[in-house]
Amino acid sequence: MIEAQKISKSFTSSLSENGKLLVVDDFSLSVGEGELVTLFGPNGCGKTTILNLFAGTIHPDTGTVFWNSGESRSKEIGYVFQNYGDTLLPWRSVRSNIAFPLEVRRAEGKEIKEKTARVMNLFGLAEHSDKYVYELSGGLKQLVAIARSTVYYPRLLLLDEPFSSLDHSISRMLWTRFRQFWADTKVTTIFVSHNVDEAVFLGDRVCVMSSRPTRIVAEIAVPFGKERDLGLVSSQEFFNIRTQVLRAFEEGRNK
Amino acid sequence: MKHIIFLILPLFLLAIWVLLTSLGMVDAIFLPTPWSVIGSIARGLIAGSLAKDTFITVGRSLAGFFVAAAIGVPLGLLVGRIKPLAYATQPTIDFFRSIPATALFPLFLFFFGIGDKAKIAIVVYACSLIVLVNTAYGAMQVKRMRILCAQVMGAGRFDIFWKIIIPESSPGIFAGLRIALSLSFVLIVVTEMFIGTTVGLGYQIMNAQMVYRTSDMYASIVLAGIVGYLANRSLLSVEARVLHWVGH
Repeated sequence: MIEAQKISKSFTSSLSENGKLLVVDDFSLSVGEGELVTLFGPNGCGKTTILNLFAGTIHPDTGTVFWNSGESRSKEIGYVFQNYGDTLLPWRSVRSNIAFPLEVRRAEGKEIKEKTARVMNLFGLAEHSDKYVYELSGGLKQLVAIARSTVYYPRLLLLDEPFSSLDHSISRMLWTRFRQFWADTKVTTIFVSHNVDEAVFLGDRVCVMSSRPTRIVAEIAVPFGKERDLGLVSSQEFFNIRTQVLRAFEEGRNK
Repeated sequence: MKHIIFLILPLFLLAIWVLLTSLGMVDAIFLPTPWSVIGSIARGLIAGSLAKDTFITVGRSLAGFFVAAAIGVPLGLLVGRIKPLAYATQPTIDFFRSIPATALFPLFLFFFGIGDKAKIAIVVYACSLIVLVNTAYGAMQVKRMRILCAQVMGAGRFDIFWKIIIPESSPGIFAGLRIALSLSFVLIVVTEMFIGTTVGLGYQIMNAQMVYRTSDMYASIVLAGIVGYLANRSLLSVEARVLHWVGH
């Protein structure tokens, strides 16, 4: 289990009176081993900051983020950034992009080949393996970014609105692929979304965030099991949970 | 059409040259006919003297160019990625790159004598600054997000440098190399004209000019242009292969 305990984070800002902008205040979240939690909240509430705190790319002013086993978080995290285009390596092929984390971890050639092939098959990228990423569509690029973040089997996978720039049908197709991937691997996942359908479809639990400084206003369990298909989105049960989430969202936004 | 369009401008210029000389609008002492220049080139190449001059000039230029690249690229990467170093060196670099290298002939003659070393050193001086500045600019453009993402995936400083910073700086590196390659040919020809030597296209240009062998002079000038063009084409073909991803 990974846990954020009473973390706060502020940034320097010329817009606020005291020169500091409090983004996260007294925020706690624990994510169980093999759980997929979605964070759903208004734009600019601090969701990305929460992910960065979990990733360790920034540090909290107060509070801590830790594995309950006490292990170091370093090299245990896969992170799919929102602007994935800026993180892929356009001078490398799809295969080479996905192999990158294994290369820098000094994995052996055989291991790199096997793991890269496995994850490319999993995400349906095998037929594009020799293409350069700039030759791919937005959806496929996003899959490369996700495949690259999972090829080394991180203990924690962080995804920051990865499908936000894709059109409706492609993002829905990716929901099912991603959910399938997660069901196969059971990697502990925190998925940030501003799309309520996406948050409910993908999450085992939806954490609804308040506006800044952010905190969790509601945690709503999504009891649909591991395997999910898109037909679920039009079911009454889905609609009921979706309504709960939206109600909590409104409360959080007006707090 | 795409494959022949590049011929239009040279053919147009050649036509003007033919027109000017055949109509007697310019005295042959200033501009001989293209045919006499082509004849001079053919005679010089067959006799072997012009081929040797060309070979020597190309050798000197490339020696200077490669040394300049070997100095300019690594220093440019350091200056581009280490902000305090950029602040500390920028005024000095800007000062020296504003000085025409040829104005420093006496200094180079003092340190390197009148042989090839001085000529190559002038090329190294001027071209390394150009490569350095362009490389530094390329290195400054490396996306912070790309480095951050690589760090999250477990990349250390060495990997980030070799696998992220160098490839992403390569458009700037190649921009510098392209300018430096052309400049290296220009500078070598100029130094051959003024610093003691008895071989090289620059020497032949100066020599022919002194004795009014204008066709021979233009033969060396045209050859200098042709080898510079071919060198640039070679670099461009390497660049097209390395930088296939730029602009997407």
